[in-house]
Amino acid sequence: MSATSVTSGRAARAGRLGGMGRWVAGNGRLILAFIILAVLLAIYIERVPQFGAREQRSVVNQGLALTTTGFGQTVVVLTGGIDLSVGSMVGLTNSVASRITDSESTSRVWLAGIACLAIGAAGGLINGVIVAYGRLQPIIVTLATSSVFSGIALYVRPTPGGAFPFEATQFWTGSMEFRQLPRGMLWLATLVVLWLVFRRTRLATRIIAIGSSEGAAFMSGVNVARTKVAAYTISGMAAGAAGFYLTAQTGNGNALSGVDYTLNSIAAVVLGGASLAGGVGTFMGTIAGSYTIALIPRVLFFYDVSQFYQQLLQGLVLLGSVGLGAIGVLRTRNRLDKV
Amino acid sequence: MPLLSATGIDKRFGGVVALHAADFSCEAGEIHALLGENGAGKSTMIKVLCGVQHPDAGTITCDGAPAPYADPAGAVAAGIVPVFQELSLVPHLTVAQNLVLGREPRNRFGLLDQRRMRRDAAALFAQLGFEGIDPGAEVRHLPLADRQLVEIAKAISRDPRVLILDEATSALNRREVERVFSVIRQLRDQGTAVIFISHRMDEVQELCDRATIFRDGETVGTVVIGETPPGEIVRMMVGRPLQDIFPPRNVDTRPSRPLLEVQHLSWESALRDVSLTVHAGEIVGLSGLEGQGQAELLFALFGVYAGVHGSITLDGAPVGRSGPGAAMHAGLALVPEDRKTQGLVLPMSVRDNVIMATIPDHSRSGFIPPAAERQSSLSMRDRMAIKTASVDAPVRFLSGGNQQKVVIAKWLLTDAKVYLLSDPTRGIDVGAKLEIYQLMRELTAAGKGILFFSTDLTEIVGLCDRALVMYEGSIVRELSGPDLTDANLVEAAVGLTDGGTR
Repeated sequence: MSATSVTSGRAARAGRLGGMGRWVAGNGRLILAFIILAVLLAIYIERVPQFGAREQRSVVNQGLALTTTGFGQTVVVLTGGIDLSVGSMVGLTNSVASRITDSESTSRVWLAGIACLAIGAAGGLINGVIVAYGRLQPIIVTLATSSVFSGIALYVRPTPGGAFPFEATQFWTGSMEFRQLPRGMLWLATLVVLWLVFRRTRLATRIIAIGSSEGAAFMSGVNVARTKVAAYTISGMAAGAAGFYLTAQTGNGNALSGVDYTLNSIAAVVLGGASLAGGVGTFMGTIAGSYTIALIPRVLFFYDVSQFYQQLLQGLVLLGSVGLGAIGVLRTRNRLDKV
Repeated sequence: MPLLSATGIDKRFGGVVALHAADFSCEAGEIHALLGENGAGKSTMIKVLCGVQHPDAGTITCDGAPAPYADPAGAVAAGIVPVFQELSLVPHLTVAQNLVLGREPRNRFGLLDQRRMRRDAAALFAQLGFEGIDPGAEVRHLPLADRQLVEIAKAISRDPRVLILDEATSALNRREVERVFSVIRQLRDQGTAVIFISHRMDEVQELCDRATIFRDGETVGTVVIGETPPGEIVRMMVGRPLQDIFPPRNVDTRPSRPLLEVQHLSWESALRDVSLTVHAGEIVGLSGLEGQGQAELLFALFGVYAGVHGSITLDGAPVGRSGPGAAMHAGLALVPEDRKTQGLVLPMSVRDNVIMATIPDHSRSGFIPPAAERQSSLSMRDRMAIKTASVDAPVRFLSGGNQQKVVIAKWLLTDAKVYLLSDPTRGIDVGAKLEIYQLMRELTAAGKGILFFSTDLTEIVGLCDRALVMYEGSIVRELSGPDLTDANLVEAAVGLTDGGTR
């Protein structure tokens, strides 16, 4: 009860602002994420000798697989959960896709794409069922399935290899006719539209409801277990899509290709303003977070900083962003709320 | 034939019996009160009726058909709609989204029909007369009173045959309560059964047709309001005359030296210019409606809040403001309202919880000798008569009353001068209550001071030497001696008497 009376002050302040002001006040972390991305992008464009079609393509493509993985991670984090298996799922689907495709047949590319989505959905479904019906902690369930997925990936593709038709790679990662813009932007736009539609489904409302207050959602007749299963399934499917894209991008398969995606996708979601406690977050923020993470090594390269410092800088950006976002907490007058 | 009926309901939680062979039934077109002390089994009965808890034994029928609902959704589908004490709204969704959660309207593309959601919400509020609530606002931005109104509106929007209101009006002001009451009467006249739970006897007298009284998990009886005198109803709730409950007052009640002195204390909008004194050997009560700043006052004194203005001294020395550690060092102890999250570390043992506030006293060069820890916890277990299989058992396995005794034991070890008690007997059994009352007398006999917030008026009257009534963050009245009565407390609490201007 005391916590309520404390927040009412903030609510009153927000109430005095207009609609726009209220949006800004409520989305500080999201705005911050885009400011950080804009600054990095500006530095990069200023440094790079020529920001032509090739550079644009390479920047967009580099962040796309992470953004796709982040889509699913956002959905799971909104429920208040976490998915540590996405990286392994990227590696597994990448391995499977590289087994299906060869350097010639474009029809097999479509088969590989469908296989990646199906395997991703199946893996996510397993995660969801164990989390929701087994009532186990998502962090340990997905850590365990992550090992399983990696194991299967190594069985499917013990050593890196495989091939992908060059024309298909051109199609998925090349430039469009229109002003030679990267086709990756089309995929990015597709993801944004998917998100905007998703946000307006019953499922999305219920996912936020669960993350915000699982008890209240349950008492309102929301099927909590089924909603969680759906969230993890979406996450697995998104990781499968990312695995397919990675195959198109690299032209081969590698069981360990997804290792970085797990923690990077969580970092991207948090950079984008989501709360790991659930209920708060948006894919728009995750896009900004993913591209921030993807740009850091490129910027470092042009500053002649060793790639070894990439992790260090990425960590500092994450700490800085989360720290800035938490400044509001310092103003909280109830010390109990800060703990 | 009753509309909804429960017979012979048994429900246990671990070793605690919440309901034993309890009966309840209500008819269509009546407002039926559930009465009883905290922990008497009212809430458990409600939860059993609407599918949140499953009874260990007994039958439930609705319209003569068996009605054991598997979950709240099943009960809601059958027309049994509860509004709970713990708010069941989702903070990060809007008011309109909350109203339709679980059965959201969709447009022809299968997506949420946002426009219809808002329109329906606005129409519902207009129909109920709940003005000034923005359907597009996120629930976490609403004040508590508005949240309760939204909660009630949400329940009514589900066309209930049985509407259950569990303390659903506790945060509302008089005008809002009137509004809700007229809506409830309208529903009754249309044939809805309304089950009403409130601690305010005046509300029950004003609104309800019949009442069923619970005590210690059993049904005492059902009475018609207006035919049974209120005193008789209270006797049925309590089970014994008042004077037997509270231990006799200490012989020497003449207050000695002042211990805790508070002057012009203010914090945000919750506390306004509060001044008070607690003398050695005195129990000072904090009363008033719920949520008028009583719990906040105790938190402010104990250093939980930053930005508190005013002066706090204990035994003449200023109390540090940097946090609970400083307040503790000065000689204050706080038994918080919410023992499960603020009073105890539930998975840890009784032993660990008992020494939690005195770890430095128990440790030697960074280690805690098991013998010292064990000795303290065993002596506290015996002194407080804590019922536990072992002091090594996790505290979450204890009953509510015994958990509260562990919280109090923790502070007894600190040898504080003034104890701040925030509704310490809420939801615990009668036996444990009596022991806590006895302990409060012992502490004051030993020269300690107690500042005691209770939502139970009989406790304030039966235990306190003086009572301070709070209203909207200020102390509006002080009552002592023969003036300290239920009636005067209620009168002062609603802000109608001198000083209680809005």
